Amino acid sequence: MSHLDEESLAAIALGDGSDADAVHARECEACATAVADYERLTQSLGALDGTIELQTPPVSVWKSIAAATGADASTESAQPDAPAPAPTLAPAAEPEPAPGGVTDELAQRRARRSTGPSWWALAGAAAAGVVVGGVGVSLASADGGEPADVVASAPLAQLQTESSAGTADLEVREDGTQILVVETDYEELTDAYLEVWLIDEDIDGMVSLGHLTGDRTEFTLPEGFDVELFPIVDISIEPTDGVPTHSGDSVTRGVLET
Amino acid sequence: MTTGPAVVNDAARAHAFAAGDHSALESLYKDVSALVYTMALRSLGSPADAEDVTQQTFVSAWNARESFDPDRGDLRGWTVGIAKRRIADALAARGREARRAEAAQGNVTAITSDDSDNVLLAYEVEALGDPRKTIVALAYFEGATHQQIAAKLDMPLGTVKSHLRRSLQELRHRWEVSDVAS
Repeated sequence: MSHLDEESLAAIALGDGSDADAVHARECEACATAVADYERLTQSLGALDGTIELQTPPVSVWKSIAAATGADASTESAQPDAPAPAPTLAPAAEPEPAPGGVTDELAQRRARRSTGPSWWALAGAAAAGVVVGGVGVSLASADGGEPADVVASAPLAQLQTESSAGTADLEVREDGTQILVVETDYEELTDAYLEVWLIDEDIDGMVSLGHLTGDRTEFTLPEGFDVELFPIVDISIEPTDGVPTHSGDSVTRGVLET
Repeated sequence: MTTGPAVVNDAARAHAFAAGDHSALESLYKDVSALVYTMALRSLGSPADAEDVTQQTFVSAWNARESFDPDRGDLRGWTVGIAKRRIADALAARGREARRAEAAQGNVTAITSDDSDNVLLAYEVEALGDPRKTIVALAYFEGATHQQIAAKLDMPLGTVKSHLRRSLQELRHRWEVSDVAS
């Protein structure tokens, strides 16, 4: 038997592994070591009290670094934003977006707009991180309990950080209507808006679905629209300049997998 | 969480940093200095020492930038690895000092490097982003069962488990990046 993949190893650490995998992990030294790593990690997580306040070093530290490296000591841009960052890890009752953080990130991304890497160059990296989503999971949609089947799902990732940024699910209602449900942290922008696109695998053709308007936005697809031809879900920052084409400033992306 | 998930995998910044672009150093400092400083503060207990470690970390990173491979490495993980080494150095130096001064002082605060590991781990959990950070927090900080999390977040149980598996993989990967770097 070959070694277990990371997914199976993590499942064992969570107590969810299959019997066959558990037997293998007991007998295989490499896999046993990996499981032990995961278990050490879960123990460390369990030992955290969940609240760590990050503290910002005084400005003098940057001045010293700048002096030693030839960077610009007078610039304020290096200093972390005041007030001191304090990631509150105490879990929220609901997975709410954190307005401050999201605003900062979007602002940073906008600032990078002119100098950042071409957005299509990032497509490969985003696609590589794609995870197969739930297949055919039946659920009641949140708006009115209307039953729908999730036929494809795309875990969304922030392109800059590759961290998880919600999901996009393709639902098919009983009447055959295809709905793309985008759940992600929404942040209202002052001089721009967020637009949702479906893009083909060549990053060539694309269709705009419309604006992201909240943490959960539903887009009804035209009848007969074949999502398999445009499997990449993309959210971009669009300036309010009236230009209807993609700005090239993608912030979030995922690939629909059936 | 005003630090938010930092811009950690910014390939452009990593390349700019390796190429000697000072603005990349500023950007790195802006994102990672609070993490480094807090790790050092938790380990060393002294703001002055933590400031020294923070300064040394970024100056070392800058001076060693040519040994950083932006195509393979993760700039934040690499920097945190340097910070861990600087913290260990400071603790070792203090140990030597303490042994010399033990008779006079005899009162060394027992602070372990676990504290800085906890800061880093909490930071990485935060960087998972929602919904994963919330799921991990519920599972490990609140001790909720997977079923309770599914009910609380109105999410299928399989999705909760999938998020947890992915989160553990991500955290283990991040852990290894900074360990390899150190």
